[in-house]
Amino acid sequence: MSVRAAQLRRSALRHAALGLVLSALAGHAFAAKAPAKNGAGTTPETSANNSVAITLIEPLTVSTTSQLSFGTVAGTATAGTVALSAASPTKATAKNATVSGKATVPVLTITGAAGQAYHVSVPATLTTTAGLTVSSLILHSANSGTITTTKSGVLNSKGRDTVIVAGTLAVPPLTKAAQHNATIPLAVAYQ
Amino acid sequence: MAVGGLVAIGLAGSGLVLAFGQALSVNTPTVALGKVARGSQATTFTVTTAGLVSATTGNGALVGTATGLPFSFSIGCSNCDSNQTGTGHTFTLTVTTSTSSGASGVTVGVYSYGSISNASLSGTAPAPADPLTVTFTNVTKWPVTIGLGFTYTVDTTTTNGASTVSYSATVTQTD
Repeated sequence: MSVRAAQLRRSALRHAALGLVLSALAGHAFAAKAPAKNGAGTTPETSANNSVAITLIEPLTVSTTSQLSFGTVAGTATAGTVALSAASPTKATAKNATVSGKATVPVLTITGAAGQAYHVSVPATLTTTAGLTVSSLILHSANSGTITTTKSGVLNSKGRDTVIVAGTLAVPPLTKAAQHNATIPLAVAYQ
Repeated sequence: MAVGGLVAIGLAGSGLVLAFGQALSVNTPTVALGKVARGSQATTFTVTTAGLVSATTGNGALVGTATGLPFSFSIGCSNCDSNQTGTGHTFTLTVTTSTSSGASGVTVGVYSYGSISNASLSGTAPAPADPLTVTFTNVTKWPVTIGLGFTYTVDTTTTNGASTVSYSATVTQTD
C-alpha cells in the first residue's frame, strides 16, 4: 500500500468513526425522550389537592315599626325647627314653630349573625309628605349607642340590634299647619 | 469527554424532556373566601384572576374580605437545572372541583385563566369550563405560575357554618 493509499484509508476510518459517534449521539438523544413517557406509554404528570373555605352566615333581615312623623307642625314669623331625638322619640322639640299630636320615629330591628358588624345607609336629607326638609338624621343603636357618624353597629350575641332614626325638620316662616311624615329609604348590609 | 459534552448539548438543544429523577410538581393555593351571607336566591360570586370578588347573580352578600387570593398555581420541576426548560414542549394544567362533605349547596367552578409567568399560554383562552385545562409552552424558567379565575355559587339550602370545596390540580407534559 502506498503512503497516499494509507492516508486515504486512515481518513476514511476517521470519518466512519465520527459517523458512528454521531449516530450514537443521535440515538442517545432520542433515547432520552423515552423516559418522558415513563416507559409505559403515559405522559408524566402530577396532581395536588386543596380546598376552598367558605363560611356561611345568617342573612340580614330588617323590619321597621313605623315611619318618621313629626306630628302637626306650623310655622311662625321666623324660620324654625322641629327636632326628634333618640332620647325623646315621641315628643318633638319645637323652636320658632308649633307642634301638636304624637310623633313617631322608625325603629329598625336588625337580625343576623351574632357579633357581626353591619352598616346602615341613609340619605343626608329627606322630604316630608308636605314638602319640608328633614336633615341632621340621627342613628341610635341599642347595642352601640349613637352611630350617626359611623353608621355602623354590631349585632349582639343573639344576632340582634335595634336602631332608632330621628332628625330635624326645617320649618320656613309662616308654614301652614300640616302633618309632616317622611319615609326613609335605607339599606342595611354586613360589613 | 467529547461525547459527554456533545450529549449535553443535544439535550439542551431539545429542551426539557423529563427523565428519571425529574418530576413536575404543582403547588395548590389555599383560598379562604371569608364569610358569605346566604340570600333568598342562589347567588354566584365571581373571583377574578386579580383576586377581586363580586356577586354576579342573586342577592347573597359578601361579608368582609376574602383572603388567599388570587387563585394562583405554581408549577415546578424538581431536579431540573436552570438550562432544562420546556422550550418547544407543551404542558397542561387541569383544575377540577368537587363538593366536599359539609359543603352542601356550595359549588365552585374554574372559569378562566389569567396571567402566566415564565412560559407562554398556548392557544386561545378557553370558554368557562369545569374542569378547566390551560395549555402552556416555551417554559423559560421553573416554576411557572398561572393565575386562574373562578366562581362559587351558594344556593338557598346551604346551612350556616364553615364549608370547604375540594379541587384538584394536575400538571402534565403532553409531548
